Amino acid sequence: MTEPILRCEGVSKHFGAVQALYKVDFEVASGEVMALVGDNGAGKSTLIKGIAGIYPFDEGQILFDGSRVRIHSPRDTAALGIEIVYQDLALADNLDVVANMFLGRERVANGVVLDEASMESSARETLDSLAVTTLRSVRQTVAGLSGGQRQSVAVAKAVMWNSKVVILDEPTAALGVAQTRQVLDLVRRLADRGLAVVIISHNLHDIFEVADRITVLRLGQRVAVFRREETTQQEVVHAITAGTLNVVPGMQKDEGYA
Amino acid sequence: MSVDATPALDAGPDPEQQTALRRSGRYLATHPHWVLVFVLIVLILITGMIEPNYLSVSGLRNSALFAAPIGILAAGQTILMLTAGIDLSIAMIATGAAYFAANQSPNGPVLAIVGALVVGIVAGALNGVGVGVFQVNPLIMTLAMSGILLGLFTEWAQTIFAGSTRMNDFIRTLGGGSFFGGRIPWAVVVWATLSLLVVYLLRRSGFGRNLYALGDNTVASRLSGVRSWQVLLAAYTIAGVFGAIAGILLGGRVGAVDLQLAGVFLLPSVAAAVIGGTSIFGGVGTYTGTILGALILAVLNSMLNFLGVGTAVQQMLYGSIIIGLSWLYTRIAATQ
Repeated sequence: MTEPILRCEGVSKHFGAVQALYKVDFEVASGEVMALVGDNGAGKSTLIKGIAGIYPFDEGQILFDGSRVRIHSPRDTAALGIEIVYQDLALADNLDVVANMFLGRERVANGVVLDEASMESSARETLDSLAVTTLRSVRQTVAGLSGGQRQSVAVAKAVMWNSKVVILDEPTAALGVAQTRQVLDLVRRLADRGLAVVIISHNLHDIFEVADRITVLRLGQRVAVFRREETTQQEVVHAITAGTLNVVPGMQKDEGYA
Repeated sequence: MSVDATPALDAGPDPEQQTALRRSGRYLATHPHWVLVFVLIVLILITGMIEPNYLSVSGLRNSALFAAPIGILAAGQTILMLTAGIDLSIAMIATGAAYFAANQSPNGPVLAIVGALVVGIVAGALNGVGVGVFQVNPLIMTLAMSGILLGLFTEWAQTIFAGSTRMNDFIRTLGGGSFFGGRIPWAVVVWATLSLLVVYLLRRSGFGRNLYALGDNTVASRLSGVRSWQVLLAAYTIAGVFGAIAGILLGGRVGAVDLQLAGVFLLPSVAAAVIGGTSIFGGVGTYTGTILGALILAVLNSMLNFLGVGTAVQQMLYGSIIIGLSWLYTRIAATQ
């Protein structure tokens, strides 16, 4: 595997007394689909939100393209070329597809006026390059789109910015069979274009279809990293439910008191 | 109700009537402006029937003159309501701006107007910092601001502003005067200019786009990189400036300033936006609708005046319109 484009080293995060992440290492390389799995409360979302700059990590470091970076806000993450597609998709229903794809980064001509023509052609270009063909018009509001179409728009929005890493939080959670197929194909195409893709999912079937490697979190710790072709669903399920922890919760505190 | 005739439908008192209502509701939802234009014309005609003199240049001119400050205040409300906010201090800002204008009137119109605008900028920016940076609920922030300003101006009316009740002649012309043979009020020209600016801002600028996005989905906007506090700060400051401009025009029209100058315009400023189809919950609305809303309220005002209905009843009516339409729009949104 090539040098990872994004690597978290020993990142920790606690909320009050709850240790949500404990010295977690995580990495993803360009052209690779890395799945992030774990039970509810395992720390998947916390890890992603740390990378996203929503809840900065308490300790540990983030390396991007080999050099250490500091992330304090979502804008820092975007500036690095890391885009996150959230589970609730983070789209504004009242705006059309183009407006959503450029939200917060609108292109303007002569200072004030929105450059609609240029934004529309870029949006269309990106959607075409991802083979998203189900949209009737890029000028329809997002409110009228199906779940799969919304997901496609959210992904297209993420890759339009020459991003290097795309993180997808439960991209297939609310989708039907055909739409899931579409999104998984899309995920594969992103990796084939050389992007590093992180996909969070509870659906092991989807993950085994699309992922190259699988990172398993359990109770805030990383318990295993598998290569897809060298593992089985049973092995991953075992790691999710009973993977060996480096630190048993509670022990750490007891040691501190001793 | 005949159950046998409509076996497919199991609910509703009268299905046919219900679908007609729903269809008209849907039409209202998709073509709101034509409905408003229709309402406006009907109101003008009814008012003309009550008082034939109303259908003249001076009659319509008076309505336009009355609509201008409401429309300008409502521009501020529209911008803020798009973000799911509101400015309850806008009338107090208008009053304060008018006081400053009156205070500086002896020093010439430029200083008077600049002084008034500074009031709007400062008070609006404070609202913007409260809502945008410290995330105070807009209702609470602006209600509190209104109270603070009222106290401040009551105090200053006895001291700093003592005697500054008369407006500069230039401002009096701007607020109440007309040109083109007394046909077109200057205030309407000011309003029209601002209207073009606001419509353009909302439709064509990135700032306008961000207002709509913030009102629809604050979290999504933030995650997309919209600098929400800057957008809100700008929005509340603009509303403050519009409040100040409305205050200048009102002060100019009345010719003198007192603490009750703009208070009665607060409710109409919200009503105009609501009539125009702007949602209090954010993300939905246009300034074109608000302009029509302001005109409708102005004609309604003339009609009620001809009927001898006083300000108290008018305020009750404005309140009822807001409640009724809010309910109606919520119903329409729910059926879509």
